[in-house]
Amino acid sequence: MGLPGHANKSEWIRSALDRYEAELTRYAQRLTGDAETARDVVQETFLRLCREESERVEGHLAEWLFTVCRNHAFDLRRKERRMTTIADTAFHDREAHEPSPAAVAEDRDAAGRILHLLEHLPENQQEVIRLKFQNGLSYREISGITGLSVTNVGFLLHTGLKTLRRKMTPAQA
Amino acid sequence: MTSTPDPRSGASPADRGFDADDPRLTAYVLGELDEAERADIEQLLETSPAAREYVESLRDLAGQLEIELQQEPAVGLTVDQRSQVEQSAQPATATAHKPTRQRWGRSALMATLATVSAAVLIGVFVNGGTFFRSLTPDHTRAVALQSEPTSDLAALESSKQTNTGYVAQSERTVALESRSLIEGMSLVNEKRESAEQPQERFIAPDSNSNGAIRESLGVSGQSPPGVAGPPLKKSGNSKSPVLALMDESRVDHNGDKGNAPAAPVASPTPAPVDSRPPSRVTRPEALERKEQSQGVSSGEVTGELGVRFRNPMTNRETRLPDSGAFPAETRAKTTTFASEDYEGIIENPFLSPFDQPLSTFSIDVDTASYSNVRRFLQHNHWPPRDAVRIEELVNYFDYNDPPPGTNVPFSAKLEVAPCPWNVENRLVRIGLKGKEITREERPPCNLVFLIDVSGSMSPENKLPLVKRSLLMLAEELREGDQIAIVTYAGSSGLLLDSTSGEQQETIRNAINSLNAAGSTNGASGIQLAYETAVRHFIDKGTNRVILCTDGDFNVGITSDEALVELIQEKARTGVFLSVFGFGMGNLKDAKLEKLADKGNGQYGYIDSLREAQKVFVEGLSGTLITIAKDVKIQIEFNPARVGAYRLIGYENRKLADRDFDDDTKDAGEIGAGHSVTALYEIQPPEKAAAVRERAGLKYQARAETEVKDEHSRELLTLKLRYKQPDGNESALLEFPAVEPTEGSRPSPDFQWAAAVAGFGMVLRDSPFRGQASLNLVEELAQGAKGEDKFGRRGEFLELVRKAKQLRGEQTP
Repeated sequence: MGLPGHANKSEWIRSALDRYEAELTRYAQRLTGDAETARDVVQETFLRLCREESERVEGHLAEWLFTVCRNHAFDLRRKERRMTTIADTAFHDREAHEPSPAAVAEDRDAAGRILHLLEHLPENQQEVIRLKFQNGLSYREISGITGLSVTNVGFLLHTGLKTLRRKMTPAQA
Repeated sequence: MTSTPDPRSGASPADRGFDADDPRLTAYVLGELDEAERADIEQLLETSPAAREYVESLRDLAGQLEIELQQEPAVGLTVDQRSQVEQSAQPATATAHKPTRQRWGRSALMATLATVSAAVLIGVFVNGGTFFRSLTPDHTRAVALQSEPTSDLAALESSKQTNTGYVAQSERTVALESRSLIEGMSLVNEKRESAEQPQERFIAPDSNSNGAIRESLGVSGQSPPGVAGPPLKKSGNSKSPVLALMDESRVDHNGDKGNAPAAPVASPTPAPVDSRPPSRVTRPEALERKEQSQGVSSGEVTGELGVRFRNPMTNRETRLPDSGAFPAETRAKTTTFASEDYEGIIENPFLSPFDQPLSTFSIDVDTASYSNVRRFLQHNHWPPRDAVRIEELVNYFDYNDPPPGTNVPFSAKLEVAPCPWNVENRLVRIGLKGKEITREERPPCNLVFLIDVSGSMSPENKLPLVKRSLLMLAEELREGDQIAIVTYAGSSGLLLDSTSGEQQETIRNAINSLNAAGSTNGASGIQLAYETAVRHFIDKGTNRVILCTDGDFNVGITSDEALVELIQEKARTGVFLSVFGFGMGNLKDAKLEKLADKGNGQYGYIDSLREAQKVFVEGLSGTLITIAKDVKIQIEFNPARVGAYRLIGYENRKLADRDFDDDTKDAGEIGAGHSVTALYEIQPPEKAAAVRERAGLKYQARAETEVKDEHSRELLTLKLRYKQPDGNESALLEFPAVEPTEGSRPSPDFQWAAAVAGFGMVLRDSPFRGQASLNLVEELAQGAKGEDKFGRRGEFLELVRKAKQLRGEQTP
């Protein structure tokens, strides 16, 4: 018997697709602001993966994919002079004023409130929070992807969480 | 959700002598600190209650973020994009593919939703139609790749068009439309099949059974159901096996509340998935046109579909109504919650003992579903319905059934009482209780922990929890026991070679040195673990590999088939496998359950130190010691007393009736002290007869009057088969159950099991829930809580109340 080793490249690519396709398009859509560009970016990412020797990626596949995806997204963004569209800023500015107590009470029970609060954080905090909690990446991996230092990643995460925590429990603010 | 103000914290934590700005607090929660820093923080937490509260709130927040963020939708690649990627991965066809953008129309959202719905349907189809396989998407694809020659891409295309308008429609409408799609597809399918392998027409009898799974996992020895195999032993059952089996897989089409017995099959030849006349020729034509215009090999496209369908969505969006709008076979599917995979569950329908006098299934002592459901509720989330496996909820609890006598490994108890959620019906509780083995009596064990140390394991509730669990377990070890630790990530290694349980220090040091890094390749890790276990095999002892992971078992190259083959082979040689899922977000629930199932072990989900305590300390002998294996249950119902019956839960444990007496067929294991409970809901004959009459079934109605009355008081007979843990031949036990005597009260255990099953049905929004409501569940559970030594029943009541909050129901 024995398990197949690194036998089959297409099997490998397919399992990478299975595992990361959804996560990467979600990430790319955040970076590029629209679904189609995100798909293109992710497709290109995987096409590059196909050209890569699997041994060179083995062990840090997630980091590799996210890094390539991010770089490619930023390339496109620069090329197409697209403005940053992390979240819909205009929409959230409108929400920024203090909501009524009734709305607070209602909001408190509404699933997803935390995501609204998340949109108010600075872009770099949002990104590390997403990479951490949406994609389950480690500080070191996030550091590799974003080019921030590990310490900086830790700082951004902590600051972001602290702010969220405060906003989630207004009584203590 | 999310923001119940923490009543414990008053003033700002910064006032209380710790630095809330210290990023190490978050890093601590996320498991990102090294040894020294962690010790620092832990010391701080020892001394400062405020710091403890603060860290606790960060932990809570982290959990919420994880759940919420992982529910965000993802668009995924288009079918074309993905198949281009897959093609360029094949050296043979590695022509430089230009990434061409597929224009689905500008509305990305619509396109996404359409893609997803279509994929769900086709995923359903692939699972349920010709290639009747109920497995993970990976596998579905593998099968499809081998054998799927036609036009599913076209089907996707066409379903996109049909489905675009779904978004605002009711689930019901979705069901109807998708049904017509499935019809269209089954036509195409039929055509193809007639030219190819006719035996594939046979619908697997036990869509979720081990048999089907085994077959689909590529293990040999399983002929297509209904084709070969011994005739049923039961005299008085004149039907062919095919017919009997067919019945089992049917679901009633009209019974929303499940009160109609399944309609009889017209002929012994299995019907197509949908048997309506082929009036919709238009769709298949459209399919073929589309097919020609697509330059993509459809095999890959089918593969794509299985995966496309894994797009993260919340459960509520993906699910199709369970009201019988589909034939059963078309509805098995895997749902994905965040990046967690759950295998679709089709609840067992009511069956008539005329159609099907026997009900056969394998026991299941898994409890993972309960702790997983608890995790969702505690984070203010209604669990995805397919995460709710009712038998695992019921079996999470201990019951006070009498322990067995000396000669048998377990006792069986039968209890019948009115069904709390449907007063006309009865509920039968079957309780098995495994022999208790005390700490002192426990035979020596040879354990190899196989631990996932990939990057995703770093959060506090994963590897750090694994370590604490192991430390607790290590304390229970003693002379004669052996423990080894194998890690896997980018590479795998033997962290601790098999070491005697006496050498506590060495063991503790090894556990403490575990660190998360790298990505996962479970394949070589598991081989190494088995090699280690085999090298230190203890005769007459417990030999077990224990896998601890968040579920990313093979990012690498392993195929599920090879993995399962390995696990099964090792189980035959006496090395069993248990699987424990940790953490959240990445959980590949369906896969983990299957691995444990094949490895003669249990599957548990550890979400807290308390759960670890339950599994690794209080229940250690049950976790480690198998007292009987391949335990199968077969019930024969007395048609004079039972109009229709329904097994609650155990959907993926059903066995073909003939497999009961077949000792080569694998089934569940029972551990020392384990309780196993199964519930049947039973309709009285009058009610079932009325339904049959309404359906105009004259022969069925007549047959009823001819029933012999010899064993008239008996409702059913329970038959059990089991093997000794190291045996190959099964022993048989039999117990009859009779109608309850007037005025007898159900036992607290009966009520408790009913409460938990009722809760499961409410969580699943089961079509069979009848009068079951959270209030009813609470009432039943409250009355049956009893002593509750470990506080588990109290915790259950808290979960029920939490569910009520989420539903906005008031306590009466």
